[in-house]
Amino acid sequence: MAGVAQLIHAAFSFQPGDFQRLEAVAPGTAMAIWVAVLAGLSQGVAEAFVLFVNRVRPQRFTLSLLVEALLFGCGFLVWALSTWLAARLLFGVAVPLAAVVRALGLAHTPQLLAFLGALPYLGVPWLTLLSLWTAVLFVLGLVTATGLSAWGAFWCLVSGWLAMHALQRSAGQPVMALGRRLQDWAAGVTIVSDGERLQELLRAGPRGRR
Amino acid sequence: MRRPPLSPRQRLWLLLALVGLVLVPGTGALLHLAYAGLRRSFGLALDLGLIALVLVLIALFFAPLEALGWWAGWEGDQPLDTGTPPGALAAPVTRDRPISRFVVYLDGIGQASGDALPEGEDFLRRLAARLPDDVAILRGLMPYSVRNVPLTEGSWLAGFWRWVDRLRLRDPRALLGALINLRNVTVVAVSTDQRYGPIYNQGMAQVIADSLLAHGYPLESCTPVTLLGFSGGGQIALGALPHLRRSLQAPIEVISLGGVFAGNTSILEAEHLYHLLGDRDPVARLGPLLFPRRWRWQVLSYWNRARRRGQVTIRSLGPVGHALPGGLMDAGYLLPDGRSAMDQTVDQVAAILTDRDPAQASPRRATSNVDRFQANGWHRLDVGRDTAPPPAACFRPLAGWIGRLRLPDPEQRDGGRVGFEVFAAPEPWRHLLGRTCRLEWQDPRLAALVRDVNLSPEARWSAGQGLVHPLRLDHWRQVSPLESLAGSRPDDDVLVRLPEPVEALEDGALLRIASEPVQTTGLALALVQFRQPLGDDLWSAASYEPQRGSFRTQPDLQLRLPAAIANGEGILPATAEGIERSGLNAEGWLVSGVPDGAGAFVVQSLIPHRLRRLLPDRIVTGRTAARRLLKREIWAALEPGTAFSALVSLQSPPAAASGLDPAAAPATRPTLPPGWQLGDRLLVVHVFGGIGGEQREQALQHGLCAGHFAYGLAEVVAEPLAGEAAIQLAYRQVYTHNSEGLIAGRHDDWRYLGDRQWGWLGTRPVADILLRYPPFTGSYRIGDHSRSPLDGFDHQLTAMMARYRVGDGTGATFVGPANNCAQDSNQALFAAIRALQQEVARQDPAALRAWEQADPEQAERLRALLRLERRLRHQLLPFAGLRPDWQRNAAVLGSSLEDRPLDNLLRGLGSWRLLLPRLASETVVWAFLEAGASALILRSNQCGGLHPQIEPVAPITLPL
Repeated sequence: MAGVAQLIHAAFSFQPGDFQRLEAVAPGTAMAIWVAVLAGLSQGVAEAFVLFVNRVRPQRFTLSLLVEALLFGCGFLVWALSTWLAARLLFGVAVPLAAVVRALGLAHTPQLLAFLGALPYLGVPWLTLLSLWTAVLFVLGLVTATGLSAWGAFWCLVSGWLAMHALQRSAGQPVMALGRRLQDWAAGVTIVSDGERLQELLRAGPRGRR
Repeated sequence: MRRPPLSPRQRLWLLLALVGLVLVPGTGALLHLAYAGLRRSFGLALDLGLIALVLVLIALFFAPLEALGWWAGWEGDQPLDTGTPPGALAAPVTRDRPISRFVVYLDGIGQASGDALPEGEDFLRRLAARLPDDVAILRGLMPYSVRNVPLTEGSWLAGFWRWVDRLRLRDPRALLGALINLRNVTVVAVSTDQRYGPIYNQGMAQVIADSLLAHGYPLESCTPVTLLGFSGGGQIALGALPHLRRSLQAPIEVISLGGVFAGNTSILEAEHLYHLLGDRDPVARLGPLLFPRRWRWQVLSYWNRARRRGQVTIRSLGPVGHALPGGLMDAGYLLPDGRSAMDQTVDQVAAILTDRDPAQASPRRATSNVDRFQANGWHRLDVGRDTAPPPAACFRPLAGWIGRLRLPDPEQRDGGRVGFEVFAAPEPWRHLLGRTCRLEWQDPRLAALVRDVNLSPEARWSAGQGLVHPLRLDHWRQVSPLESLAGSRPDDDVLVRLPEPVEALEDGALLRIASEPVQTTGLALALVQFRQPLGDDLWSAASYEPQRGSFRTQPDLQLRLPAAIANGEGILPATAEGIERSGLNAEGWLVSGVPDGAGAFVVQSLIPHRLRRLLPDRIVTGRTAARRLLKREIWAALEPGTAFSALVSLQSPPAAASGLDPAAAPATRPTLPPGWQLGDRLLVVHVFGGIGGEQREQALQHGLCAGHFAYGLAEVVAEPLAGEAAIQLAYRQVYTHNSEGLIAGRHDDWRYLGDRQWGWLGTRPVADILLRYPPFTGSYRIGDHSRSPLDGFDHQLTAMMARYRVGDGTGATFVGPANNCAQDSNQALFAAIRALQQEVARQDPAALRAWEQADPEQAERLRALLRLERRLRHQLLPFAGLRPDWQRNAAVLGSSLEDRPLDNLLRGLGSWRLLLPRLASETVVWAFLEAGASALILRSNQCGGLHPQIEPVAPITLPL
């Protein structure tokens, strides 16, 4: 616990030269994955209004948050994998996968405070700020882990992110569908999460969905 | 309004400085040092401040839970049935007559119980005393609870809040009292949030609607509602506004008293927003500072668009603050004029609610074509001259009832009725000539078309450019479609005929009609042939003798063809030069006008007889020939002063059609196309082109001619003047505001087309395509009702035209890709067909089958109509998803390109064939022809006298 607190503190007072120190704080790959799962839980809280709009019952609510955190962790690993592949195939950097996982895990540290995104009115800009923060930390982490230049690390991050999304929309479809089914099972209803259909649900009123 | 504390530029610099501060290396250490320094100096105070901040964040974090829990049904599926009384009336109201307006008061963030703060209750008592007893004021709602539960009731913290409330009431400056404000501020934040706001605001709208219904609000009455919000109540009011409007379908205005609101909800749906604030009010000024949607550079935010449209009036209350002491409800704080701040606020609100609000200065108006054309005395209405009998027996009355609409003074409004100065009346009522009756248009469906009119800045600007907007209706409440018809032009000069049936009540003092009056020109008609000019605008002419089937050999009439006055571009609307030599003179002219008082007749309007006969010059059958005619030939012949007609059908010509040869002897030829009968109703598809030549109109200076599209309804009638069948036609003009003062509404061809001063026949090429298609133009008996798709369509167009006249309350409509004459006319067509479909779908399937068996002809017609609907939908709405406004028959006209410009363009593309009027007409007519309709095409090119300075220009289309 003290390690996590130290990690958060280090992440929030980050300076470019401090990243090695930050990595030294983290005890390893497992810790990075835990950070990601906890960040997923925190984000789940921030976006819990989606569950409310879908009229998820109270007893299903916590289960849904846990499942979301788990799925977020899986997505995190896929992102790390696609970034690792991008670093190897596009930039020719032979970096260990664990180093990329650690860098991405550390970069997700600010997301532990994503639950504050649930604050009315202030929440949305806060989440935007955290996303930017995460991106910057990830670039710094990749610079440290791979020795790439800042721009190289940035394009590596973008390529990995694009590859992950391409994967989700192609070969990853069955896995994505499984994830959605898991979410729906946990929530007890078919979860609607895209903006337009959420708007429709809101227009239909609270009794528009039973 | 005082300048906000920081200008946008200053805000930008501040933001950049803050971002820079965070990003500069070493900032963290500096902040740490600063914190350590502060802690050393202020110690406990700083810690307490930070603890308070954490508590605020925690309160804020949990604030959305009540609304979210309500939505999710965590507290049961009857979330609002809490037993809490849904407000109360601030004062008793009359039971003798209907309530004219409901006012709902939403108190500021200091409210903890079911009552407003003492000063709020005092304000409501004083306001109720000032208002008439048919205005109901509802008080006692808890605006900061989606379940309408006051803090002092219901929850386990109720005891604590009661204690705090008592403390605060005893001493308004008690520090603990701020806890109530703090708690309610978090709810205001929920209302402004883009995620939670739609949920919370919907819940509040339901609380308000429930309260209104509990206190006698009549649903579907369109009784106007005013939301009166103090401080945070302003945000709650604006948040609930769009939802409440949707559920009540009624006009809603908002009065904000020192309101703090985000400006991110659809203020455009308010009839008007009055924002009253004191010069010393620091709280209300937080709004423009904290909420980005109210910053000026957010040009497309609801707040800024509403301001540009003139839907927002910001009014200073002088040197008053927000809350007590010195606030806008302080009865003990005296202003320089001797009134208390409370009295001033009550005065202002009462003035708004009782229509005595000092109207803004009427906008300046540049010279329009209306002003120019008024100089033509022969085309001005003159009841003394016009009501004299026509000079010869060959004239017949244009209609039974004809008269001038007179808009009542604002103080003498009469429940939506207008004055009707009688110019013509049927025999038992001729004693009414010259008198002004009251005219009432009775149709329950009109209630939905009543609008408050507040001219937008765009309308004012446009009026300054010489376009004619309903300036006389500015700041009028609840303007009826009849008032908007009477008040659309600067003066009372709208001549209308009343469609039958006309009910004369109270010995003729009140005339009641069931459908929209038709704008027209002239009082009497004749069929004449011009012989020779006599000088001084006079012509000798011969009338037609139907018994002989020819014109008199010798002239028997003197007709006056007054010189028309040129428009702002110098183009004459009509000439009489060489009219007796026109090729159309052989078949004669139908003329409409009034006596000149000296034995002659003033021809105010004329139409070539050829254009009203049912004898086509050509008969075209077969798919290829019909397509060629429709796409190419119809607009290929553009010789000025000509007209032609053609009968088109995709089927092979019936044997009888050969008898339609116009050259055949009159005695041997039929006067109707095969299958057409007297009494047939026809759908008219109208398109006009442009004015080219030496005096090319400005609209064509830099591009191609788009033209104009309109629908109309026609009927095959027996024309006694000609002794044969003829067409009687009236357009339904969905027309944006213009310089000619042409009012969106029903127009006789005498007015819209043939009028020699106001019409288009003398200057433009025109195509009227008359479609006869019994599945659409006939009627159906479904259940106990008889329904005609054509009547349904007519009603939809009537609604659209009424909305156009007042621009949905903004006083202006503008042409855009998604909303223009063709798009909106066809939206009405879809709405009509969909309404019939829904009616059929509502029928019991077994009864429907029995109905089909009992009347197979009718059932077959209905099937053909549904096939036509599918064809039209496929052609006109290929991307239905892009036109959600058509799917739900949207209530707001997209009257400005600012209405989400990209969205507007996309929606326009969703029905792209309607972007060009000619293409729209070709598409619609072809769909009807393919469905089995026959069409009579009537084409004319600048008919009347010679006009060598102009040439007809065909509207553009696409080769599809």
